[in-house]
Amino acid sequence: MPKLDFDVITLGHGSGGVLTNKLLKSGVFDLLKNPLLDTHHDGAVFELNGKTAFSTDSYVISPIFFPGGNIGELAINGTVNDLAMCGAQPKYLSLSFIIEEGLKMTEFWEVLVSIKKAADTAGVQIVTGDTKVVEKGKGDKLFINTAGVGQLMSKANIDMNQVKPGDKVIVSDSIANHGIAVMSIREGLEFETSILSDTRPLNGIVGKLIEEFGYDIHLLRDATRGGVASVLNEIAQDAQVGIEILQKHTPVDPEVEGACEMLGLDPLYVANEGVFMIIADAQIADDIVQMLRTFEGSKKATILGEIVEGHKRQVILQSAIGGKRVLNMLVGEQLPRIC
Amino acid sequence: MISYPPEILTKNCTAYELNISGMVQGVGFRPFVYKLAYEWGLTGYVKNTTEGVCIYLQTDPITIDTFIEQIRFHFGEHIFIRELAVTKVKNLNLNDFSIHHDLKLAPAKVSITPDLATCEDCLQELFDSQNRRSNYGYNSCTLCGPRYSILNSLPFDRENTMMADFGLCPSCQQEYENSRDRRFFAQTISCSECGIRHQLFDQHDQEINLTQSEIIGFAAKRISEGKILCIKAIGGFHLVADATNHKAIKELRERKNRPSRPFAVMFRNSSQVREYTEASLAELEELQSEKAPIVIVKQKSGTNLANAVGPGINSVGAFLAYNPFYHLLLDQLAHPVVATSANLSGEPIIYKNDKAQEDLRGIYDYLVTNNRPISIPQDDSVIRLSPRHNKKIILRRSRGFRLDETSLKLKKPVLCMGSDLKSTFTLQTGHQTFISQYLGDLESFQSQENFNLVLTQFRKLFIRDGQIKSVLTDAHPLFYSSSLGKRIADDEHLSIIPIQHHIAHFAAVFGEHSSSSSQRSLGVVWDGTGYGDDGQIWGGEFFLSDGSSLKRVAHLEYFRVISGNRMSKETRLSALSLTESNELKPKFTEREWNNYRKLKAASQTCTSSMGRVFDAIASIIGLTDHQTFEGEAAMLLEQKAQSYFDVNGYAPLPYYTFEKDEKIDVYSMVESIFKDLNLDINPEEIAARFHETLVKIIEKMAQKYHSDDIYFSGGVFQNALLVDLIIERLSGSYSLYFHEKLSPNDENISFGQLSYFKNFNPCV
Ligand SMILES: [Fe+3]
Ligand SMILES: [Mg+2]
Ligand SMILES: [Zn+2]
Ligand SMILES: [Zn+2]
Repeated sequence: MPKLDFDVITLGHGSGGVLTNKLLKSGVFDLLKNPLLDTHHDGAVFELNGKTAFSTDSYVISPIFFPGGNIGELAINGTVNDLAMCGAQPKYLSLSFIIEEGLKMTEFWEVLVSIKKAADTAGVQIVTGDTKVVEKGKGDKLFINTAGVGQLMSKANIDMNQVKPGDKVIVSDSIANHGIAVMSIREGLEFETSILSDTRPLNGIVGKLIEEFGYDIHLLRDATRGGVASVLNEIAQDAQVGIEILQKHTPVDPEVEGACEMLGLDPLYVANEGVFMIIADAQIADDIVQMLRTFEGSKKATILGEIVEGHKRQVILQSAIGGKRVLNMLVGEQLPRIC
Repeated sequence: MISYPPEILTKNCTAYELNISGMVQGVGFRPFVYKLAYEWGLTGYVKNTTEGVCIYLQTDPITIDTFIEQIRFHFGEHIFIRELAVTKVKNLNLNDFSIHHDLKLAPAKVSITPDLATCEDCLQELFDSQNRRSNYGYNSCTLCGPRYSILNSLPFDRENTMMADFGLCPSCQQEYENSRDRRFFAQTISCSECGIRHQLFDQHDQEINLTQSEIIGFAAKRISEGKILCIKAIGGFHLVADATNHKAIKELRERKNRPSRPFAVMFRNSSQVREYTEASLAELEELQSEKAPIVIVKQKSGTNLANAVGPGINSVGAFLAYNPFYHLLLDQLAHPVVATSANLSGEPIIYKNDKAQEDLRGIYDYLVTNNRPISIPQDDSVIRLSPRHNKKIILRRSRGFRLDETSLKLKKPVLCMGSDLKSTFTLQTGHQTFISQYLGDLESFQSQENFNLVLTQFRKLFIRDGQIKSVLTDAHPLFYSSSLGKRIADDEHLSIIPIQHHIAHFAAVFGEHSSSSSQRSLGVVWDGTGYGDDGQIWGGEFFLSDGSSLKRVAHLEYFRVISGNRMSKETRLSALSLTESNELKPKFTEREWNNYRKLKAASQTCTSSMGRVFDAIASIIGLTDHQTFEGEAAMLLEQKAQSYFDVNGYAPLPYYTFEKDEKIDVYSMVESIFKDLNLDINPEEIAARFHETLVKIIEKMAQKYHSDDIYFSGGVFQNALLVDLIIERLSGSYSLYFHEKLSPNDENISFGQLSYFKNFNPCV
């Protein structure tokens, strides 16, 4: 961290004046350095060829530091992954901060460093940005917005209309880690081993998958807010198909499972930040799983279930002990229903 | 009996039509009318209509009156007549009396006859080697046999049932046509010659070729050897095993993945029931009724009934063989059998042959199916009688129960979707109120399908398409029943009205007693969970009504929900929510203790659930910390308290403190219970005092709100001891209203929604 004459961020740092300049010039620009950002212009100017994907997301997580990551890398990985799910290779990102006054500069710096690292890992450049500071109580330490553009991979054919009965549903890794990591730190819970967020960029692995399997990959979705169950419900509704998944194929790490039980949560509804779903032609499903398992971050890839003709718009879980349960779209919190 | 010479009757001839609605189909009504008309020498006809039965008689007014008298007199115990209208009509100059078939499609006013247990006459034939129906596993007559479970459409004529594909052999045909035969015009008539046949399969789906009676013998032999059989009954399949073979029952528990929920036991006859249980006369009467329900009765100690039938529970769900197949099977067995609904964990009863083979493979050793499909699946009904006051409590309303037992006059056709956990729906046709049988927990996909199937069937049977005006649902935003209701309302452009769960409970019991008085009434609604108007989880509620408005006036003091749904499975969490006393610590690991307390502190959701209070007390006095089925802890707590009263009598006990700052403070009640525990008061007495306290709470509320009429609803009132104590302590000073025809549990919600709509909704 560079030497500074302040150690907390104040309203002045968001004024656009001298203090803002001081904050940015003190190291932010240096840290994220690249030719486009270096112009210090109002916006970045660049050329893109062919089909382009464009996505944005805001990050408001509390606490901003959690086991396995922080809000900074989440903000980069999130938008990178959204672009990857479109079948694009992300290239340029924008980065905007809304800082609550009083944020420690050390904390801000730690977030920045993670941002830099995450951007490098994903191979993207941060080319424009913005910083605002709000009064104490009007924010929650730090909010981040990122937006990004990326070029569609030539073999990508990601399209809801491609999803058809018989397709397999693949999940890339064990689920629910991120949500549980955040919740356990928020509630101050202890578990046997600490549970880490799975936040990671997925563009690398997605690039390889599309390179290899191209048109046979029908849909990609990251299972973030609402978890696997919510994503599958959206697919079932949008594609007008039924989905059937097997509980015994659902990859959940034992300590996560235990934590979910304690919290009274169903892991299928818990958020992930580095897990994605693949709907692909049945013929290549096994090959996809094979390939995924050779990469760090998708070692537990498995075929979770399939797209079916019947029960359109519904996701059914074949439970481990026999019965079939309907996985509904989650509306609000998980409410008790037992009488 | 009055008899008129025929010549007088046919003289002076005018003609009349009697239109009769009610439960008049499938009960031998037409043959009865025929015989009567024949004896009296009357001319005309009788026919089933979609409204009921129509009798056309060419005779004089006096004879008509006497005829009606005879119908009421001779048939009163078997049928239920709702309306009987007489109109004078044109004389058709018929020369004889006949039974007409006339099938027209119109909305029906007829009741659907439920499935009736095998009658005495049919039973005798089974074991009479001279009778041509001896050993016939599907014997039935005009007074017994399947009805609702084989119905496809109305009226109840053979071609509208699953018997349609079975042609009659000459002998059956003869009986069917012979007005002196007891099977005259019996729609379900059949015999081993022309009737239903069973088939036997091993666990690999290989058919075992044996004769019909050999199959029954084979099944009996295998059961007595400890094997598990899957047998097709009336409303669906059962899994059957020797109830005295501990190993077999444990094996069944393992294969079915049902660790401890009690199994029902089927007995050969009432003397066998008496061998194994303390069933009272009233209970035996229920067992022997044509409904043939499962009745929860006290076990006798020292019998050879396997422990695993109901581990830790001293009662048993008993029922009698209710179809010919079971009569024949149990006749060959020395012992009673466990007969439990064949289903996968959480799913509805399986009723199709292929589904039984598909889903239950690995659970049964042998499968006995038959070639008569079931059109509408049903579970066995379950009831209990309170031991002291013989108050009947329905726990599950299904096979054998009428669908239109309650009446509620409403001109608008309304569909009420009920609740999710013990789902039923209620269809008000504009003339009649039909309440579906118990349709299971709608979390299961199969239950949802079933719910849809029966709902579609009801709409087809009872009302014209699009005739529904409003859809009523539970206010819980995540219920399947609510979202299905919304979908129907959207598709058909109907208004939809969400109704709070406990309000519906109160309205249900209020409506069941067709209360219309403007007397102040107190509603006590206690259950496990319902979604409250304030977003909290209600369950210990008091309502006040003046007959047209309804207000929640009090509730158990809120306590925090810990871990959402998990709380209802782990009774220790309810205890923790009510106290953090160190005495609870041994129930948790160090880490659990810390984590759960943090979760409690952070919890945003509160509950006033009486069900959870039962859980907490059961945990605190050491009965159980986890429950594997709903209501297990409450059942154990009731049992403990009951054994106290059994020994010490029903003299009033001191109650625990519960009043604090005008609130019903469960925390201080728990505190006093801990004091008793520390004084080494035994759990039986604490459980008894807890029950006593609940009655006191009710009394205090009735006093506070100056109400002489008290209505009770909600799953907690499945507790027979609590019901007994309420009657014992309060019946002198208050009018008490319990559910009579419906269950106090969530099965009544759909009817409650209707009743609320009718009685308390100003917009109607
Ligand atoms: Fe309820
Ligand atoms: Mg996004
Ligand atoms: Zn009979
Ligand atoms: Zn025959």
